[in-house]
Amino acid sequence: MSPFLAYIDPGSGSLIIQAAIAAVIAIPIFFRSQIARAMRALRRSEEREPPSGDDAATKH
Amino acid sequence: MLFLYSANLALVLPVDAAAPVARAVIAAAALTAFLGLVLRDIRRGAIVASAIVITYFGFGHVSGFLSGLGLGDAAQLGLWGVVVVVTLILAARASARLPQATAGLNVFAIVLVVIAAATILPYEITRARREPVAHAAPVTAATDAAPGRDIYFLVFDRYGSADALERRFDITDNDLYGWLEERGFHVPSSSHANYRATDFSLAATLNMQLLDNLTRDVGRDSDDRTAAQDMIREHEVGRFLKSQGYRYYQIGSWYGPSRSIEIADESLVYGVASEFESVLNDLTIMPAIDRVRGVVSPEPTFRDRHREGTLFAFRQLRRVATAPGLKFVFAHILLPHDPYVFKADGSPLSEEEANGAPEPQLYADHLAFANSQIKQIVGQLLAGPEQTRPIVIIEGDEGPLMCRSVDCVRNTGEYLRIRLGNLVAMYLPGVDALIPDTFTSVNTFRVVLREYFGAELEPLPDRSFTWPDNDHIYDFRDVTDQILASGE
Repeated sequence: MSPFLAYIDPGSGSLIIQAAIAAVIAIPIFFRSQIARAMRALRRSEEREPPSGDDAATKH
Repeated sequence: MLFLYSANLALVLPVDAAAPVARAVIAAAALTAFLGLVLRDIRRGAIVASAIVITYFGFGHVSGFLSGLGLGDAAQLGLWGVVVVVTLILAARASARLPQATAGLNVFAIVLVVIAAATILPYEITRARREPVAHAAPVTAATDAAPGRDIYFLVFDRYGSADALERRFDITDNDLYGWLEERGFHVPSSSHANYRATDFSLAATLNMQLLDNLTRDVGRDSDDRTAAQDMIREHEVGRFLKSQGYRYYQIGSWYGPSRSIEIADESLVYGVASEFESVLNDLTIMPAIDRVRGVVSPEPTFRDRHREGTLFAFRQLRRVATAPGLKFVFAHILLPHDPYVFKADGSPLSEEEANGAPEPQLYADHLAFANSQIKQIVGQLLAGPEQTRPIVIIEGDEGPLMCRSVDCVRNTGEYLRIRLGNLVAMYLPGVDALIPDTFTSVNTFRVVLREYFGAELEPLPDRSFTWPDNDHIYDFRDVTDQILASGE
């Protein structure tokens, strides 16, 4: 890239930071259904897990 | 684009950014509509258009980083091409995920706009509420004043004094000062600019006053340079000379404040793009495409504009000198100012050659080319009999930068002597003016208007100023004594 020697500052570093912030906010929306599906799968797997030994003991 | 504006609020006014932003919005909307028709879904069109717009405007922002990883223009173009093609495939194949993809991109865009707006709006509101900067008081000429001489004010940007050039670049053989003296110019031996920046220095010179009004009207806690730049656009020297029957020719450069002077009768500038648009164009993907194709771009790069604009200014200067009628010619020529685009003989210097050469050599070459042009123009202007010769003022607005392309500010006498030591040469035919060795530029037109028009303008104290940082640009500190002491 040509070096910029005008007085106007391209500010590329700031732009990349701002784009990263925008991406962090937008990505959950972009992958909303995938995230929801993963959450559901995670919840189901937690429900299927057998109770631990301590929990089982307290139920007696 | 909105981002570029928000990153340069201290230099750019809304009017500068409005046209490019409007053009970009219209083009993006048209592209979205077209792609929506082709892909038979406006959301698919919007997704692909987003990728193309990001590629077009974002290319230059990451190009430097990718170059650092060893990726040349062709590889970078290929990479961005893959991004667009993959987006196109995904958009064409997406169906159920289309709404959430659109929503995600909308949020991405909204966040970027909100961040930019959060920077722009408070700044512009503060700027709009600011009291108008007080302009210089009108100058009155003596009733019998009629010098009948043309006036040329030729500013060679960052052309330092002999002392500044020796300290910064070890240049000791620049013959221009002596050459001008031999032709009757006053060349003060220890001249200095009043401020170490073009906008402040020109504002002071062209309004014949120090800029205490800006400290008072804008305040010390400001980075807004547009207040000083306003003083250049409607300067008192131009207004006065026009009132005296002069036709005002402005020969500008890509540098905004001297590019469009509202009070000029004729503004002669190369190209139509402003500095803002020029940088914006250089940040797009187009220069890289042109380089890979090996074609000369119809849209000149910043280096092209610097070179062609400088040559244009010299051509206009020679042309205007032949125009009939009483005239005031103010030419702001960006030599020896970088980017370094000329060899000593004026032939083009490529970017690769410039990157591989030491700055003292590059500056010396620009200086040599500037000198050859100055000598030609002075020869043309002083060719006639003494009674008809014009008043000719040749000045640097400041000295050279302390580091290559960067003003690495230091609060030392050495730094200040280099940054503020400027070329001053005044040809004042028919009068016997006293020009002190410690002359500063603010007195340039005070001398001219006093000697030739009988204006009651006593010399101002020859003082030079700096400021602590770019967030306090009107917090002026008098460094005259520091400069003079460091030369002892």
